[in-house]
Formats: sequence, C-alpha cells, structure tokens
Amino acid sequence: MTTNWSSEDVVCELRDVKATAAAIDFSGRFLLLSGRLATSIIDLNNPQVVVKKILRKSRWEVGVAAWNFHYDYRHLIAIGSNQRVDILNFEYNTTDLVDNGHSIKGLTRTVLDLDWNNTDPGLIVTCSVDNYVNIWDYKDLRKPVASLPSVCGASQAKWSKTGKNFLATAHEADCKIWDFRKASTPVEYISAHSSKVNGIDWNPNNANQLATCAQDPYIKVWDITALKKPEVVIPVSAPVWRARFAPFGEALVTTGIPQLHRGDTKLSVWALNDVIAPIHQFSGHTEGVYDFFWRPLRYNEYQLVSWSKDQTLRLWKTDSSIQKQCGAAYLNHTIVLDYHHHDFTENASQRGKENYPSSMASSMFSADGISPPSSAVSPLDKELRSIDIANVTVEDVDLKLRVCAVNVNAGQHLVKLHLSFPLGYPEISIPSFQINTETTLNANAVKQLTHSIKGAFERCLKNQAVSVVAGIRTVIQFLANLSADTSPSPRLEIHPAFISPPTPSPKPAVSPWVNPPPSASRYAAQRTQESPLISAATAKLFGKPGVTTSFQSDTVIPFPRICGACFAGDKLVMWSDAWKLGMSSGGARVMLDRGMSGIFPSELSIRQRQVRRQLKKKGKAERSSIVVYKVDGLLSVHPLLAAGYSNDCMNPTRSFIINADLAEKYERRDLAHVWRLLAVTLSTAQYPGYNLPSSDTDDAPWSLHPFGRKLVDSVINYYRENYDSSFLATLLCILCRSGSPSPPPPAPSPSPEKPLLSLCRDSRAVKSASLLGLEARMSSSRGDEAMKLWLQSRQPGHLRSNSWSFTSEDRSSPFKRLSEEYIQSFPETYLLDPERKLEFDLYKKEYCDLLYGFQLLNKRAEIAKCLGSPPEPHKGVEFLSVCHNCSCDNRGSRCFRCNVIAVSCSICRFPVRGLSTFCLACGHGGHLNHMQTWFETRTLCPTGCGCSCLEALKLP
Amino acid sequence: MSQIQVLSRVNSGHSDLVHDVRFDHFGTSLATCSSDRLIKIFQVQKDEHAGQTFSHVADLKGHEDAVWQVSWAFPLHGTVLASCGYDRKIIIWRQDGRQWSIVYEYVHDSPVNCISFAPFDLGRLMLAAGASDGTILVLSYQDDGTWAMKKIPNAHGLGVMAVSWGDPFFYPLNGKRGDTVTARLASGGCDNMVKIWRENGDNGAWPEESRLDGHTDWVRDVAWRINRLFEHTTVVSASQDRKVLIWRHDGHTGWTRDVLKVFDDVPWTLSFNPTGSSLGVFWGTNSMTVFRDSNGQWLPITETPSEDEENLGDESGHNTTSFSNGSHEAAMVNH
Repeated sequence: MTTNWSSEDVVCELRDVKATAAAIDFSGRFLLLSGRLATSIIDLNNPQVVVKKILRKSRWEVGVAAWNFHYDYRHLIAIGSNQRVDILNFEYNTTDLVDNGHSIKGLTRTVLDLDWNNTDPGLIVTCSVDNYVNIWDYKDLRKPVASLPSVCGASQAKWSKTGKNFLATAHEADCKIWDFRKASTPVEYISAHSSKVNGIDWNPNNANQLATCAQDPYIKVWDITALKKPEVVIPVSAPVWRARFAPFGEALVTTGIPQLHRGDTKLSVWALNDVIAPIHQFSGHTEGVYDFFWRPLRYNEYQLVSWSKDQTLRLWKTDSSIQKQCGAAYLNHTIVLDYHHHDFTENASQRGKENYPSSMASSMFSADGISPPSSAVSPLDKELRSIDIANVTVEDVDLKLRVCAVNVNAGQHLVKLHLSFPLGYPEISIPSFQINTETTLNANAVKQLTHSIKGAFERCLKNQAVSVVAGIRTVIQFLANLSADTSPSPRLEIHPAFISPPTPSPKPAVSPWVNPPPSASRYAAQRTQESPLISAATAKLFGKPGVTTSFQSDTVIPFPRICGACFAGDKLVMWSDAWKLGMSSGGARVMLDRGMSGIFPSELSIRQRQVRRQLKKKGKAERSSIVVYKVDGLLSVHPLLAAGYSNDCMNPTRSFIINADLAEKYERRDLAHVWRLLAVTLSTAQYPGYNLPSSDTDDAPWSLHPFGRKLVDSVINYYRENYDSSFLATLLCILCRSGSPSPPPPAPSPSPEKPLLSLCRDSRAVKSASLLGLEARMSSSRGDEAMKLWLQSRQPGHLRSNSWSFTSEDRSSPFKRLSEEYIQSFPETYLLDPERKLEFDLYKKEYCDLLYGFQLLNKRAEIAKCLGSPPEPHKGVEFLSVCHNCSCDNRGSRCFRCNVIAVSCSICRFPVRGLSTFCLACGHGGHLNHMQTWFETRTLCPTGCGCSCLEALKLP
Repeated sequence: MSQIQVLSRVNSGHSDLVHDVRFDHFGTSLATCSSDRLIKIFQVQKDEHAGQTFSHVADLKGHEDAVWQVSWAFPLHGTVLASCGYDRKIIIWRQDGRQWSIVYEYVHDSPVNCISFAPFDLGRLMLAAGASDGTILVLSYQDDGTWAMKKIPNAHGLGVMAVSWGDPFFYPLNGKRGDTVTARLASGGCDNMVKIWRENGDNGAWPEESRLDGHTDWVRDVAWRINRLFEHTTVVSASQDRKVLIWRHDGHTGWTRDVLKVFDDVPWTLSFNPTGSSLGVFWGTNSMTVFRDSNGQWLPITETPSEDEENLGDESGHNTTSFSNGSHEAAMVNH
C-alpha cells in the first residue's frame, strides 16, 4: 500500500538550466546540473539561485556527470558527453567552476556511465558500447590505466563504495564484477536479468550487496558472495531506470525511465524486507526523473534531491517514519554516514580514507540510550525458552547474535523461519525474519505469509509485547487455512499506479488473512497523521469486504471512467456520474487537478465526496444519469429507407422506381434523383450487347456507354464517400444479375433447370427496349458531350479508345455476332466491374451487418443471398440435417459430434429449436414463422440457392 | 429532422457510480456496471408508442468490487456478456431463458480496466481485456467448450486503459481484401502510446505490429473504425492531454497522424456509430461532440448540450446539418 501525497520541502523550477545530467558533491551542498548549453552549480541551501554557470559549446547532450566524493579531490567533476569526458574544477572557496581543458578523448563511442573511485580517488571509470571498460587516472588522461575487456559494451559501471578495487559493470542483461588489478577477466559473472540492465548500485553499508534494475522489469539485490540466486527480487510493473540504496536501513529508491514520455515520474522507496509494494512514493514530478541523490541534513536526517526532465529540482523530506519502515527503526541512528557530516573546512586527511562504518560494529556504540542487553538473564532468552507449542521447535539459538530458527509443522506444510532480533526488540523494533526457501509453500503463499507475520509483529510492537509466539501462531493459522482452502489464493500484486483495496478473497469465511489484514493495519498506521476523513474512509475500506450493500465509493479507488457515450444501432447512450461528484461547476478543473492523488484525475477527493453526500441528502441523487438518445439522423443509412428498399434483381427498373419513390417520401431528394437516373439509364443494360436499341446490330455493350459502367462506378464511389451502404448494397444487388457472370444468359433453348429465369428475362428484354427511347432523350439533354463521345466510339475507327480488348478478327466484323459466350468471356460487358467483386461483397456484408443490427432480418437475407460466394449447393432430397457448426451429416436434431442443434434458420441464423420448415427441393429453411413471413411476398429461397421453394413443393 | 432526440432516461438504480453502459447489438438490451459491484440488465419496452422505456430485468452478481466495463458478444454467439473490474476478475455471463449464469471466470494479477468482444467476422468468439499491470489478455472460446488465453505482457507499462478490435478485413497479410480476415487489436495505456497488435495465425501469439506515438499523456480510449467500404482504416485515440488523434492507414504505406481536436477538457470515450460515418467524443463532465467524416475530413456536426438543459431534444437541433444537399448530380458528372 502506498501513499502518494507529496512531501517535498522545496520545489524550484530551473527552466533556463536545461540539464540532462546531475551530480552532487561530497557534502551534499552543491549540485551540478549539466545540459547541452551550459553547466550550472546550484547551492542546495538556496536552490533558486544558480551559483555559477559556464556555457558549453557542444553539439551533444550531456549524458552523465559525476562528482568526486573524496575530500582531497572534491573539486573534480567529470562530465560525459558523446565520446568525451571533461574534467572540471570547482573552487570551493570562490564557488567558481573552472574548465582547465582536461578531458578524456581517447574514446570511440558515447560515454554511457562514469564513476569516481571513492577510495583511490584519482581513478575514474568510463564505459560505452565498445569493447572496453576503461579506468583512467586523473593525473594522466591520455591513456587508460586499465581496460577491462567486454564483448558487448557496458552501460553502467560503478566502483564499490567500500572495497577499493572492485567494480561492477552492466552488459545488456548481465552484470560483471571486476577486480581492476586483474583486468583480464571478471571476478564474478551474474546473469542478472532477462533484458537490459538499466542501473546498478552498491550498498554503501554492506560491501557485498549489489542492486540491479532492468527492463524486464525486476529489481534484484545480490549478495556477491552467493550469486546463485538474488537475495531479494522485487517485481515491478514498469522498467526501472535507477535503483539505489538509501543511506538508512535496508531500502532502495527507484525511478522510472525518464526518456519515456511520461512513464513513472515517481520516486519509490522500497524496503527490502517487504517488497510487495513500495512503502512510500514521492510524487510531484510531472516528467521522468533524470537523477536523484541523498543529501544528509542533520544527524540521521536526509533529504532526497531529485532532478527531473520537467526541469524542476525537488528536495524531499524523508521523515523518520519512512526510515523506520525501511527497517532502520533502531539501527538507523548509527548507520549514518558520518563521512558526510564534516564541514569542508575540517582536516581533510581523515576524509576519504575511512571506510563506512559497518552497521553491526557501530550498533554496538549506539548512543541512543538503549544499552546493549546485559549478560544476566536475557529477556529474549526467556521468551524463546517459553515457546511451547505443538509441532513447533526452536533451534540454532544464538543469543549473542540474537538469532534463532523456528520450525513450524502444521496442516501438511513445513515452514522454517529464521528470526533475527535487533537490539531494539521488543520495545521499538520488530524481529526481522526470513522464510526458509526450502518450504513446501509456493512463492505466492510465502509472500502472503511474510505479510501476515509482519503484521503480527507490528501489532505486538504497538502493544509493547513480545512477538515471537504471536508470529508462530500466525504461521500455524495460515497453514491451517491454507490446507482448508485448497483453492488458489488470490495473488495480490499491487501496481504502483493503483492504490489497491484489500483483496476481497473469494471466500471471506476461510480467508487466509489473519484478522485484520496486515496491509490494513499498515495502511491505517501510515495514514494516522492524515485528516480524520481519510482515516474514516480507510476504516470503511478495510472494514468489511464482501458486504455488498454497505460498500460505497468512499474509498480512494482510481476510476478508469465515470462518464462516456456509446453508439448502438440507431441509438446513443450517454452516462455521466461526474455531476454526482459535484463536478458540474468547474468540473474540468477538479478532474484535471492532480493535487492529492495525482494518479487518476477522476479519483474522488474529499471535497468531492462531501459534495456528493450533500447532494444525496437533498435527494438529487435519484436523478437518472443514463440517457438514451435516438440518433438515426446521424447514421448515413436511414433505417426506414433500409426497410423499404426494393432490391429485386429480376426487375431492376421497377426496383429503381420504388426506391426513388421511397427516398422522396423520406425527404431524401438526392437519392430519389439518383434512383430515377439509374432507372432510365441502366434498364437497357440488362442484356449487354444484344438488346440494344434500333435496328443496327453493331452496338457496343451498354456497359461501355458513359452512362454504363462509368456512371455506376461514379455513383458507387460517391455514395461510398457518404457511407451510404444501404444505397450501395441495394444497387449492387439489383445489378447483381447483370453484373456478375454467375447466372447463365438465356440459351436458345431454355435449360430445363431454370425455366422461370429465362422466361423472366425475356419479358424484361421487351420492357427495357421500350424504355430506351426515354433514355436517349434524357442523355441528350443531360450529357451531350458524353453521348457524342459514345456515338463516336461506336464508329469502327474509334474502337481502340474504348479499352476494348478485341483481337483483329473481332475488329473486322465488330459486334456482329455477339454471342453469349462472348459476353461471358469479356468482363467489359458487365455493368459492375468484376475485378471489384470482392470489394462489392464487402459492401454488401457491411450493409448486412447494419440490417442485422436494425433487426431487419429478411432484408439482410435478401442482400446476403446476392453475395458473390453463394452457399454450397445442397444435393438431393434427404432428411439429413447438416450441422451448421461442424458440417457433418446428422439424422437427429442435434449434431452428434459437437452436440449443438444442427439446424440453423436461413433467416435469423439462430439454431432452430421449435417448429421448423424446410424446402424439400433445396433443403433450406428454418423457423416456421420466419419462413412464412418470407414466402408471403417471395417465391425464391432466402439462401440464394436459386430454388423456387414454393413452386418446388407443388411438383408432383 | 433533428439529429439527436432524447428517447429515454434510464434510472439505473445503482447505489454507486456507474462506470459503463453498453447496448447490445440490436439496441434492445442495456447493460450497466457500477462501483456497487453489480451489473444490471435493462430491456427495452416498446409498448407505449410515445417512446421506448427501459425496464430493469436482471442483476448480475459475481464481482467483488467495482465493475469497470462490460461488453456484449455478437448475438449469434448467444446472449453473452463479459465484464471486468477492480477485483481483478474477468467474468463471462450467459443468458439462458431468463436466467443469467457465469460460464467463465478468470482472476488476473491486477485490476482489469477494459474489455471488448471481437467482431463477428473473425469467426470465433474472442475477447480482449487490458489490465492495470500492463497486460492484455486475449481469450478465445474453443470447440471443446474451454477458453484459451493468450497474454501480451507489458503491452503498456503502468496499465492498459482501452482495447479495441481491428477491422477484420483491413490489410490482409495474404490473400485479397475481402477474402481473408486478420485479427488485430488496438490498445492504449498509461505509457501514452497506442499500439497495434496482430494475431500470428501460426502460433496464436500477438506480436506488436505498430506503435503509434503522439500523445503526451495517458491514453484514455481507443476506437478502431470497422467499415468495409474503404480500403484504408482509421483508429482514433483520446488522451488525458485533451487531444483526440486520428490515425489512418491506407493499407500500404503506414500510419499517418492527424489531430482531430484539442478539447477544453479531457476526452473520456470514443465511439463510432454503426455505419462508421460519425465519431462521438465524450469529453469533460457532460459534453459530447459528434464528428462526421466527409472525404477524410472530420467535421463537428453536433454537440449535445449539457444535461442540465431541460429541453434536450429541441435544443440539440440547432446545429443540425442536413445530409442531403443538391449537388449530388454535379458531383457525379464531374467524376
């Protein structure tokens, strides 16, 4: 659980600095900020003022900067930019920055990292993506003192803060540890991560501890004496750019990648003994953090200094509560880096040569008033001896080191706890513990158990009671619950961006949590200094998960959305609960306010909640916040038009006229116009080639006429731009007979299979011929030019210009013998471009879906049957049902293979459960009522198989 | 003819904030979800000729915390609804007769922010969900009655805010447009990115196909226009930076970016109407602007007034642009 309130002491915006790298001096007083244009020094005691600024004349951004921490060399600053490292001098007496022109130039690639050695202070390490990690002596920068070979370049290089000669480098996903005196091979090799390591850091208090963070995204802490497994693994949600140890306790501070637009801008503090969630987050930066440093203020007081891409410098207070949570409750008072506390006027000779005091040693000299335990009868000894619980054994007790191991065996599980009691136990600190890795629990359960035990210890601390027994009882209870509830317990992984509620477990009765959940207690504890309102909310939040009725959004939950709108069919539904939060006045401001939470703008703030309560009291809350609008005017397809359009491909002209009338009726005069135009121009085209006006026989197919395919294409493109899929699909369906080559043209002797079709065609031929006179008049008045062109094209000499692909024989006697085969084999004769067949099918599908949404199922079926890919023909009459799902033959109503109802209705496409009817000829059919409706006005099968079902049934 | 008329006001009856409201494909059923852990189903009643009313027919109980989003499956798959919430659950509900039952439940590692069923043309019952740990989950129903899951880990660092299924017919990798379908996803999240994912037909994995970088703040919603009329395709994204961006892909060269509008307040949701001709942007606390595509130009055509206005229906007609104009003939002859 994380709080997100900001607690920065100082924010100052330094717009003109434009720095991309920062470094802090040994005393923590001066900060160096360096960018492409200038290098500036800030006095952190008065951070608004730039103490010194020197301009840089470089084309390259500054990638990295480092300040020497050694007292004797405290004036040295290294700035890496591109392939060059400049060494600057900072004069402490005059606070002047001097560039002596010292620089490392012998590099071949961009410097990615550099670090001064703390104990051999003239040494500086540089790394880049070339083959060497170079170590230079400040006194002679022409040649490196040592070069450590690496196959792939290093992105990070850090000297150990305690060991003089050790160095850690990061190479892609791996890390290496070197002793630079033995530069040929690394001392240790760590396959640390699965993707690129972003940052490494040595623990200043523990020479053996190394932290790495990577793109994968994990943070790992390693003990370099036992590299088989990381000591601590912190799974995080986003890649971490830097993870650094805090000077107090066992804690890491991490930050997200600054190069991301707005990745993680927070600084998270993780306690290594509790890695489920960061214990604190410093949020405030609006963009990624470039770098951060610890600045000692007073005895055991630290300030976190961060420099961000948003060009602000922030100084954050880390009060003792944070330090305490980092496990530094008692010891932290002594782990202070006294190194930092000397004024720089003091004698320098002691500086830098001292190593950091080890925590163990210094704790013995604690001046905090709690004397080391007397050797008489230790209370700890007493406590450990008093443990007498079944299935629990205490072993490996070492009262000097204050450690012991406890074995708990309960409910088929075995857990071994290693306990270590700090000096402050039991008065001011809790025992630290570790669950043995060789346990029968899975990682998930271990995590939960860790949490539970910690909660128990903390409660005991509150009551000033000894806690080992309580901890053991927690373990027993946990194991018992675990055995009782074998269902996988929910894994709680808290996202930094989401303040999580207590995880409501699937079965509250057998919840594996001890009561109350430890997270709750911690959360509440953290919040006690906050306003009572929040405490109340917290109490509610953690009170009774699982009671639905009492649940209110008084919790701080981030909402993905609380208002919005969505189209569906001809409707639009809008909902907004924003007004409930009192956001109606100045709502925009409130919602954008990132003040309190900074995470979800729509998160409730206290004020909003108050407003909401008032609203409720006034009874306004009853107002409905969901409004349904009718928006058919916004559709490019009118549902009424769609319902009425005729798409009879057997009688195109009539369909055109019906549609024109309909469009007029619904005030779509533009559409009416076009339908009429199509009626007069295209009716002739039904029989391309052989059914053209007048006596002359040398006609071009109508599709080549300017009012032929060209017109159709133009109309189609125009209405496509207007999204009128209704018009498009209807037109395409009407023209599908003349447009698609599938139906055979009438043979001289009508084929016995299709007598009806041929008859129909003949009658139409007569009709269209009679209409042509009208057409000629129309065209002469409207498109004289086009008509002329067409007439010209009919002259033999102009044939070429018409994109005909005639062979020479054809040209000799053009158009004379336009046979059926001829029409079939020349795609030019179709009004609809056969090459766009797939595309046209998509238009029809689009319209089908729309009609389906309008629930105009019959219309949909009418259009769908004109699709270019007709369903597989059904063969013969047999009472086999073909499963619509797996297409296997069945004799029952359910498919034996996939056990679904085998028959689906041709109209509504749903499986047929009740009464059904089927055509004996083609086998298609469906729901009785659907079929009845269909055949009231139609005679052909709805699937488009061409079967005249009504007629077929009359056959003897 | 006014373009927007109030048809009905629905009293949700939720005791807490409503987070999502969705119509089914036919516009006859309405599902709402709320912080009070309930999903409510409303059914349209057409008895009165005066207008449609919605009556509450069912409460779906199963979530243990706030429900963030619901999504209806295409009706041919049955009456199926999916929901996701802060309790990290994805639940798939199915109506059988009058009874709703849970057919599938999955508990993720972190709260699930968004959920969406795939378009019917993909031929499979699939759904995608985005979680606050940055994972996108793709569930698909198998013939044997189980649900197979593919995960896209770390799709968006810090959390996925929106997922939207792509046009199945857009830019097929093999075959012609209209012949084959390709499953794609667009997603937006807290890394300010919009990303396009394409299903690999061989192993069912979802590699990243494109990365649309243009926002400077969290992406709140993403919508992919499904329209078969055009070869190009359009994705819109709304972000906390108050911008709505239009991404267009012509099927050959790549994605281009346009700013639809920089709003005065945060745009929250995006929705295309069924024909794909209009885009509704809901922004601020109570404002909706509808844009209409006219030859690639998105023009604002109507804005719903604030809900506080009493006479909503009449009010909204003021800015109506009629779809019909007299220049159609000229336009065609010029072609």
